[in-house]
Amino acid sequence: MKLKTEVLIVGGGATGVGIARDLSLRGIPCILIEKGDLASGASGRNHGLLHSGARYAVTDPQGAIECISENRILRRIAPHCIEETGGLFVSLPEDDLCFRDQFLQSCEAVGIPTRLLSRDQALSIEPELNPELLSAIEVPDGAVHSFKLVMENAMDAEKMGANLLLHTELTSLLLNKNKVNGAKAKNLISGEEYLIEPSFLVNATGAWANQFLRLAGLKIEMALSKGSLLITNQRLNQRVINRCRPPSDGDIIVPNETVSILGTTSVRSDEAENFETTPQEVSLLINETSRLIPSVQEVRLIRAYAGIRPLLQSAGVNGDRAISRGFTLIDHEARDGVKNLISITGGKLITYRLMAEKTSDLICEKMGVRIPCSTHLTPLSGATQASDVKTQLKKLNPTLSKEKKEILCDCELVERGEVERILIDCKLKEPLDILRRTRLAKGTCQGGFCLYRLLGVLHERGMVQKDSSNLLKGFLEERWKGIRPILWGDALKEEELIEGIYKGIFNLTPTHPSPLEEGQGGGARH
Amino acid sequence: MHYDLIVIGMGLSGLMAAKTATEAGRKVLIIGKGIGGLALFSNSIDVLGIPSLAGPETKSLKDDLSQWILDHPNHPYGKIGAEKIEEALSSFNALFPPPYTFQAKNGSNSLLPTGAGTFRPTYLIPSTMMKGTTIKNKKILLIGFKGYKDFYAQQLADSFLCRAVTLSLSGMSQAEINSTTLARWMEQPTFREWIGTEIKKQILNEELVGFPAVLGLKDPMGVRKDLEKRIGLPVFEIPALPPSIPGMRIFRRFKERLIQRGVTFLLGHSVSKAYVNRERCERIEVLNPPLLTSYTADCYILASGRFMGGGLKADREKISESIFNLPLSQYEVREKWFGDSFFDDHPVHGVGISTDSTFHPIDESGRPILENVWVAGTILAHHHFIQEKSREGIEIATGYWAAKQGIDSL
Amino acid sequence: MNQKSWPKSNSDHCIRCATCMSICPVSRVTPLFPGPKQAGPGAERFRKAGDSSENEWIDLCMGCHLCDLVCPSNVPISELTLLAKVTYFHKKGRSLRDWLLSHPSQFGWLGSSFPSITNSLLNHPLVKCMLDLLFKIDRGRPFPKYQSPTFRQWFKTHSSRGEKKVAYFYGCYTNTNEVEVGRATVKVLEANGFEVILPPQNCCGLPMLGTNDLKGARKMALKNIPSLLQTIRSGVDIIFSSTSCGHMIKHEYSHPLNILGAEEIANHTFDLFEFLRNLKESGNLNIQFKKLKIKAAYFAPCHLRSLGIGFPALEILRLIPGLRIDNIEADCCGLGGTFGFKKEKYAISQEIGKDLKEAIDRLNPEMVLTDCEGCRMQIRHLTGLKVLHPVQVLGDALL
Repeated sequence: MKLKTEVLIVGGGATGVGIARDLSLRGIPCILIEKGDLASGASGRNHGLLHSGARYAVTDPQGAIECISENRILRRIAPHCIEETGGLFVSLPEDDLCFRDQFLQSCEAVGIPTRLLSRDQALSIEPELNPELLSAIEVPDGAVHSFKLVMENAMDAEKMGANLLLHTELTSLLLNKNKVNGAKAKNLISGEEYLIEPSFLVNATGAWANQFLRLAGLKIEMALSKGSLLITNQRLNQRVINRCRPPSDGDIIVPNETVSILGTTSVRSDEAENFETTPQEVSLLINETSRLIPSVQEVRLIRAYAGIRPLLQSAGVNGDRAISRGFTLIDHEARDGVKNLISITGGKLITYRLMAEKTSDLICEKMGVRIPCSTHLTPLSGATQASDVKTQLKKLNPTLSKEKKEILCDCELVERGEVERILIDCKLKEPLDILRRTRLAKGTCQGGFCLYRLLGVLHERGMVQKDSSNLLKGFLEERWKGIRPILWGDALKEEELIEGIYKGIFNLTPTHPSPLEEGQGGGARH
Repeated sequence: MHYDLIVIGMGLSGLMAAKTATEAGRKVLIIGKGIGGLALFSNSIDVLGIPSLAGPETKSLKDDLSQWILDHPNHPYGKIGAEKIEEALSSFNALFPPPYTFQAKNGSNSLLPTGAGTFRPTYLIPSTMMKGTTIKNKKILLIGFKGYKDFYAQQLADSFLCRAVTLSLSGMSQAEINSTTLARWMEQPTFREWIGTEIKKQILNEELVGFPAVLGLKDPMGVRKDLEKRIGLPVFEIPALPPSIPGMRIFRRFKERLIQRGVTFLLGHSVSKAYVNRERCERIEVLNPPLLTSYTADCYILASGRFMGGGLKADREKISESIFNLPLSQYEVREKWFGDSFFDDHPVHGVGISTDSTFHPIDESGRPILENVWVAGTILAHHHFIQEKSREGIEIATGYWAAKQGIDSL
Repeated sequence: MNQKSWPKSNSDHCIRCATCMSICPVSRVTPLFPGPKQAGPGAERFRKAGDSSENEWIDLCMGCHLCDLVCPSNVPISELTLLAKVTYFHKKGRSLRDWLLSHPSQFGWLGSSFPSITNSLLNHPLVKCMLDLLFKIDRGRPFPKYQSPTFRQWFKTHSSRGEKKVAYFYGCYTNTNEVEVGRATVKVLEANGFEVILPPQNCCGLPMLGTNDLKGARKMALKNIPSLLQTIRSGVDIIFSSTSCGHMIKHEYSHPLNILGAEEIANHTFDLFEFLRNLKESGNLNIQFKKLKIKAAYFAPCHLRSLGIGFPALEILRLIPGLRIDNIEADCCGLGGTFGFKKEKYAISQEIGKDLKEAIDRLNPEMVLTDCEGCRMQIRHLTGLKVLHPVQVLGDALL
């Protein structure tokens, strides 16, 4: 299929969809291609922290200003993707109180509101905190549902005319002298091939920047950094809990619906894919974050995951933490002589909108048009207030109405109706994608029962029509990646149960006897 | 309170041990926290379902079992031998006189359909599932229930290439129904009449009707007979997600027999500690907050299961046995407990208590440690019941024989 | 043993196996109760343990403890549910009906003072209709009959003699509604050489727990503790003939009521038949029995199962020559103490009881024996059979 457009955006993370939305709001036609699902990269694998910027106030004031500004904008335009938890910066006996004073001054200097709390005050609002703490500083941190944020941007962009092609991989670029004339792409599910002819091309591929740029014969110096996170079975804190010290590993615990997320680490990586959380990282995270909340040592973990930060190497700076998390907009015309190619990289989840704004501004400049950005003013559609976790329990209330409610995921109380709506509304072609769009399988047993039920629903809706045991095995392998690093204690018991179900009762093995041998089955289906 | 024999653990191996001891006229206490795998997994009795023995060729399991045992001398079966495994299985079978019996088709393994549209090899099959072994050769109609989320007939139909009907239970005032409730409804004639009529209307040219494994808890054969009469076709059941109604039938039968024979049946309480003096267990302590109660016996059978049952515990560094702190078979660091793929044969599953040929726990040098304690069930080392499809066979055989060893010592 | 052994975070230990769902008598018969898995550890991820439930369905938990018994992970499921219930009703307020149902001792006194009037009134169709409409006490549920003199009054006229002493916690129901159980207990204990004493006692408080009045239950417990402590500290063990009262004292006084001294009392308080079984162990049980040609069936009450002592009544009764005694295979009678009196729960209670009735019918006994007064009431109501406390048969068997 041949497609013409003004802007081709490659990459469906927060930045990519943010650009699609920004351009669409400005009336500029665009196509976005993403080889996986939305937010397959760092946008879907981060801490979910709506920074107040306080963390960078001392070491990177410019970055801190960006954070607090975007923090406020996102609260306005995407309240339903955010939980306004507030945050604390906690000083422990081993932490330097001079840093704390510096911290307070720096926050003030960049306009981040703070309030110093005593030990008792802190413990009364967050009883799980380490009772040895000296003080805590309140800041306007929040928790953000990153996938939802990305998805909402994508949906808005589509509504305004952008064409988003998921599971579509860029296969080659057609360059002519100093311009990119066309891009070839292939849908990995249907096999359909596209030839896209854009006026401009944006590389928003995050950590995959060089895989993309290679197609144009270009390269940038990336300093990919893996960050691992652990999810606890229970929500230990109501507010984001940070360590008041120079930024380091294991400094932050972010609450998220029914769980808490412990993070993070910073390990140099060469790979954008195929990485995992190591046992050393698991130990480090538990040991460090338990200084903030001691019960982390005993609490049950349900999943480990990691993401790759797409950082750009700056000349002469050691240690990835020192690399600015500020973003970089690269005009390849100036740098490499390719007129219509732009790369946007680095940055944080919560500065996605600003990154998209700057990228869209540059495109407009190159196009010779003057249309201002309005993404900071226009709320995302569906921007109603988020509800609190406790009200989820209402789903258990018995109802004798005709509106049948069946709960598929017992741990996270996800209803069948919700899942079916998403299957229809999002027109999902890849069943695994459903798992990012609901809380199904995100609870205690991580899909032990509900993955089977999900499959049953897919069959009943005719979305899967033959033997789906390979699909089920795919779900289970995906799940395994997150489970394997935390298998001890209760999680190991859980795993015995899950293996007993899938390998035992259902006998799903790599080579289980298939029912579909010749002459098998019997009788036609009607 | 003093007993001849105390069985620690109420899973299938503990229940077999208690049955064996009480039938030998001994005074028995059985104590367990929970019902073990029966409530969850044990829909049929697996003995050895490795791929080469999976069937459906008619090969007698017994002969292959003997050879396999010779090749795996450290396996729990290696301490028993094929003949004695047969004997233990017969003892199990004696609990299930007709009409609800456990049988091996042609003395070999058979492939039974599962709730995920796959097949699994198994050995002793309850009467209500036996007809499932013929599904490859018959036209079948599968029955699901709207709101019953532990079994999806359409999914199986898509796999087995047959038809499915999902009944909408319009009399139902709720959206969801669970296995236990459905099994209870199945025991009511009016319910069976209703579904029988509905299903009969839906039959085209099918020869066999498959249900989820909820054909009643107390009288599955009565339920089946009635359904067959109303539908006009033979009926069988297919296991799906836990809880396992067929497994609960097994548990209830054991419980009935043990209580009838005067076994002290302490369901719901766990042994918190065992007191050992000079290679003998002197007493065990049971915690029922706030009370700690002691019990003594001449011999003890440890059948406390693996991690789920609490027989084994794993923290971030090590694995340990919870009651006696018995030495475990060799294992590596935590990173190596599990393989890279979910479907790997995980090394951690082979970890357990090593014993001598009489089921006494042994230390690293092979010396028996406790002279009045015998170990049975899945807590034993050197088996991989998931891969082997040998769970119930190990539980039944070792429970039976460990108890016999204990009784002989009295 | 201190509270530290109670798991701190229950939803962590729950492995979602749903074994509890397979045994819960309530979720088996009504879709209105989501079941123990959700009511207890499942909900704890959404609200803190002890926070109020979101909805009144939580009150459908009968407190039978069967879920606790089958949980492989030691999750105190029924306690989690109880705390959510209690907090819910604390906020909502409890009804007069619940107050009425939870104060049996008050009515007991009144009822036993004027038994014939009370009994005819309480079981008069018009009165039952009124109670149903005004107070939502289901008219289908028969009220137990009151007796005069009460057990306590009778005991005053009885002189108990023996070499050793034992204290008897008889419970409200024995005192005012089943005096014969009390008398049989005294007879059996005396036949084994014990002088029976009655320590000062009040209602154990269980009916308050059943109507979600944790404070009220604590109040009753605190009233009882001093005299019970004094009794055991003077070297006298306490026995109970009601497994419900006994469970309350032995376990619930410690958890969730956390009463000081409860553990000490628990260590010296015994179920009557547990006590007799201990005597048998040491060779001191009076087994001089006459032949009783009776075909009986025994039902183990939920509280007895939770006591973790096995079924000692069955073990002792089997010593009586001629007595044929079968164990009834059923999970719960369905009364749940005050539960089955409530109009909105009566149907559920009876549906649960159906399974028990079927099991009894299959055995076709002449009489049913069970240690809990609630079970006795329910079984009489379900089957119309003669239902006794095992001690009454034991008393009859003594030469």
